[in-house]
Amino acid sequence: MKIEVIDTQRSGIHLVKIEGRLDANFSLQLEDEVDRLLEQKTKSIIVDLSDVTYLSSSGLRVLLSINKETEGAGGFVLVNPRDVVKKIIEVAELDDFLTQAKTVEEAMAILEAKKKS
Amino acid sequence: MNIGYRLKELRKVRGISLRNLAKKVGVSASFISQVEQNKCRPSLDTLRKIAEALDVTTSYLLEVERDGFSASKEVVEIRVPNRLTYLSGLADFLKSVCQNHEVPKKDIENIMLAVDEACTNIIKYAYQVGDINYFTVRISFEPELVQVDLLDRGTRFNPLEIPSPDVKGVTGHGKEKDFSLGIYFMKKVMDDIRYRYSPNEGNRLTLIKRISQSKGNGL
Repeated sequence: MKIEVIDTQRSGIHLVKIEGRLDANFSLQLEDEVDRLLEQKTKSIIVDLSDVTYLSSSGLRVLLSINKETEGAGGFVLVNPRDVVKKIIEVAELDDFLTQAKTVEEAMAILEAKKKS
Repeated sequence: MNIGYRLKELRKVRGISLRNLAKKVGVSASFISQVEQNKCRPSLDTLRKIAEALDVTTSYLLEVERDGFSASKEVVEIRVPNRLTYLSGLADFLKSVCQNHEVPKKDIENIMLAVDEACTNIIKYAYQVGDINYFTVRISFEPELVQVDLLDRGTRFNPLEIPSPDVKGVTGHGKEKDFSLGIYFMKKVMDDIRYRYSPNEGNRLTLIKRISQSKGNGL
């Protein structure tokens, strides 16, 4: 698995792009990366799942914990999960609970709108 | 797993092309191809000719349909060290052997999810952290059924006793929270799960996926 952190140039929003399998072997790496961001000025996280080929319960648990951490001050949006990943989120019945967007732009718009409200 | 699979495998072993087999049998190459994909069934007479061309008895090809399970069961087994780094290799292996048996993609995804979760639990909790231990993944292909047995000699543990989680609340740490979502996944995507413990064998978790009539279950 590869993780790339991209500064969106908008205040407090970071984009985390993941590639590969988000399983028990790698989920902690994502959690560590996001924790590091949240310790700084980051309030909102966008996780781009376009290139994630598999999601296990431990990966999903990390996504849920990011969701919880960002709940108050910012927000959390998942971008473009593949069918196989989308279905796993559905099996857990979390498809309505976790905010999802088709593109990074759409995710930014969601977060910007949330900031204003 | 089925007559098509047997035929295809036999043809590969014998090194006879579709075209050559078709010529010997007196049918078209596309007909043979369809039989291999279980899209059509040959007549008994054609089957006899196919068997002859491949130098086996007709009953060898028919065994699958004749007495069902044991005759056509294929088992593949691997021993895996209890390290999380092996999860992805295991997934690739599982996918590849299921594809060989023409298990539908949707079912493969379900099986991969359940096995990954079960193996994660074994790796994380069956043994003392740091010790190198091994567990066994045994995949059995039968007509219309894939069974995966996971065997470990670690701490006795029946995952089926773990209650279903409040999914949104499983973010914290702790063994039970860690387990519960994975087990919830296994139960949802498989058709049957059994657990057995014996002093000789240790823990045995059996995951079963039925192939033909599995509609709407899981992913």
